Amino acid sequence: MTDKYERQMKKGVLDMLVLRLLKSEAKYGYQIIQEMREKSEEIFLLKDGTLYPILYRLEDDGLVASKWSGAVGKQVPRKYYEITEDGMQELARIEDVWRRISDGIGKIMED
Amino acid sequence: MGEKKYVNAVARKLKCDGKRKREIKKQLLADIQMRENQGERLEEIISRMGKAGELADGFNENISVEEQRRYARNKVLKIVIPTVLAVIFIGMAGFWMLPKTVDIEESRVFDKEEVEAVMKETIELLDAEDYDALQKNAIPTMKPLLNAETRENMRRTLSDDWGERKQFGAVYMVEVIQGNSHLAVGEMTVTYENVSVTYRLTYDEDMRFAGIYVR
Repeated sequence: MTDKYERQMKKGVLDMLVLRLLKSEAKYGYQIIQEMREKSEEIFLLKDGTLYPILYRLEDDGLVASKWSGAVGKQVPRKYYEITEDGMQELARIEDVWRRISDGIGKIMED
Repeated sequence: MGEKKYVNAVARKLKCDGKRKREIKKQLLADIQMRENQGERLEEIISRMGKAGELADGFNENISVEEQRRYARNKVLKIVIPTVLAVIFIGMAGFWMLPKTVDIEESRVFDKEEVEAVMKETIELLDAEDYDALQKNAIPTMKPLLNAETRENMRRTLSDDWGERKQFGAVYMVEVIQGNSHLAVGEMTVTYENVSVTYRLTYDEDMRFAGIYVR
């Protein structure tokens, strides 16, 4: 049961977290997976199969843009994702929603 | 399992269009190579990513409903369109192969007067037993049949003694088209002293004698 709730709760915030990680600079998929794991202290262990469809959807919605880097030396080509202007506005809106929900939950849970 | 084989196995199970599949394959390969560059072994990477089916399921669960519908629709179309085209093609080929008859006057290959004249000439040559002349203007498969024995057998099916030819009667001609082949088929009733014979004679595009039937 815990897994089910954990999955549902995590799923609801993934778009926001991905956009948040892209706010500072463009990143490639594996980098996002690694940062998500490190910064969340292994709470968010994303798999490729979960991350990429999110990125594709965000890209389809115009919230992120992508670009393949050329192969330099031994470095394999990477697809970098960066947040767009629309993505920044959407992130601000989602963060606001998140804060309100988080506050509301906090108030209930404190009782 | 090599990385390409693994990625191809994932791609086969994805429910998205070809463009997206290629993108996913490219990204997965890039990710695997990056992890290998960081010292992970391929087995470890695959183990972390999950079996091909599990990874594909992960993608499929997260691919938008709209994209999955588009994929399903395209998949159906990929089956339906070739099937419909195949049925149309078979139908057209069947129609093309079916023998079709055309009034000889509308023929672009045969001339009515010429066919009628050649028919009369063939009958005259048969009556005169001029097999050399008959064979000279016949298709190869007809040549061995144009001899005295065949002629007698044919004649005996109607009467032992036809008698002298009296007159040519009515003639009816059509063009038969089958595929690329055009044939002129004519029926002519000829009156002999003791019997009235209807000849059905067939000629190819070069007016070579190609068939005979009498009744």
